[in-house]
Amino acid sequence: MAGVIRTRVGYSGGAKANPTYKSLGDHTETIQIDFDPTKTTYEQILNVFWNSHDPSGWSFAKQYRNVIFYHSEEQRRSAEKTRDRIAAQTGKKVRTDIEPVSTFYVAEDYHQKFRLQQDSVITAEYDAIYPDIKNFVDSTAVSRVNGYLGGYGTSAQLRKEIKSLGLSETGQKRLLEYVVGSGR
Amino acid sequence: MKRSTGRWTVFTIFFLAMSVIALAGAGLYADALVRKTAVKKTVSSDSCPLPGADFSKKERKTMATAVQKGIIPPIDSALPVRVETVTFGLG
Repeated sequence: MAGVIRTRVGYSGGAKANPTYKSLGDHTETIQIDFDPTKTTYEQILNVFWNSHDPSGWSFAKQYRNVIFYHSEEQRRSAEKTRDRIAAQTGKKVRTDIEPVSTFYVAEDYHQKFRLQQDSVITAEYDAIYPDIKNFVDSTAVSRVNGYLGGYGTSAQLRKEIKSLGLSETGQKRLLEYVVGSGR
Repeated sequence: MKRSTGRWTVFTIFFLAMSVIALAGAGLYADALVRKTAVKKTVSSDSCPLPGADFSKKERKTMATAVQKGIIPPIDSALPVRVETVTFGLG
């Protein structure tokens, strides 16, 4: 998605301090996204979110619930507006929660950029650029490549920005072949 | 006479070798400095939210060098002035 700068996964919404994957407490597994508001809007990201789950579905564990954590009153209003619209369109009760953001705890390193870390060739290239995992996670290039490998973005979008992602010719070819090969 | 020439040859080779090592060392040191600045000003968690226009002229030059040398990806050196953050839970 154009304008996405950084992504990270973690735990939020609970009271337990310093949760971990094995000791999550009352937190929910979450994704946090930094984006450039001049290139994409909160509403566009909300659309992707609503289309990525069944809003009428129950979450039996707090760990896996569907929730929007808003960061501002403006975000709250947009989230509630889109929720009401979906409820009206589907005629079903929307069970996706909307609540204020609380402390976001970054998940363990092995959860970050999960799809990218499964590709040892491309991961090795970014490991060489960013040996420190924190920098690896915060890299826009890494976030975007993880998105392409995760099934998002088209080959046309990738072609436009592939030279800016810091990959070698081999890495670029590998990534493009993967996206083209998956029919995007 | 021959012994003297031999000494000078050895000295010259030694001097050249040391110069090459010193130049390589200086190059590596310069690259390390560029890397340190570029990473700190772009992807380092310390710089979140992103600095964008806060780059000084010198930092912009360093960033351009870092991109040119392949130290950081171009997209990581062209960050916006302002970002917005969203957080979701997706069961």
